[in-house]
Amino acid sequence: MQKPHRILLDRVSAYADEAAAFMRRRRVARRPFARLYYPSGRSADHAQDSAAGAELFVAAGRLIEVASERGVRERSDRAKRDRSSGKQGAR
Amino acid sequence: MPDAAAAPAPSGESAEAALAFLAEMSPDLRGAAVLGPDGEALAATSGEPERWAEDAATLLACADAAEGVPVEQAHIATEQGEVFAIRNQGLAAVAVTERFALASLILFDLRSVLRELASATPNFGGPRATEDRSSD
Repeated sequence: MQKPHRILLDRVSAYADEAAAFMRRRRVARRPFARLYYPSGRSADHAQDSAAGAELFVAAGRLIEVASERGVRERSDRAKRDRSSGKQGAR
Repeated sequence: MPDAAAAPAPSGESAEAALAFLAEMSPDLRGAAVLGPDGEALAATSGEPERWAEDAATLLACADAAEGVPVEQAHIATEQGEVFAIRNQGLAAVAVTERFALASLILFDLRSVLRELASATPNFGGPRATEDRSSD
């Protein structure tokens, strides 16, 4: 008979494997989509080949271009640097 | 355009602080912008806030036109990345992330940031000002 902690470890590993498989499948199978949420709580999907969907994808593409012009990481790194220098100054 | 329940426009500094906080919170974030009640960019992560404002306005206009009803949130997932837009308390925010970013977390962060910006004393990341307890 297996020790109880072994059973627990096996079970946790099985859950982790299942989650990893789900994420792998999601990466492979997921297709582009446009989903809109309304104040009533309702949501609606618009296919890429519909008129509204096509416009949304074009607008989103422009925003992706703008965002790729300069990475946001600089800002994050700067904030971290400022925070750490503040901590050192306080010591 | 942001939603009709307009709050007074927060300062550019608060919006900058909000974006810095957002960038720190979301490792998947590529870029973001905060729009004021009139649709102007209060702050943006790239050098051209006007472009952010223009493209975000286009996205929100397309989203509103899809069913003729103003949207609260939009999530567009493409092969190149994901785009999120949200309206809250008269303000709006747009964010571009890597693919497969967790939508619920990004939208939650954006909503929290807008709610904080709309409050009288926005405070991002720092300790909350404690109440005056000198009378105790």
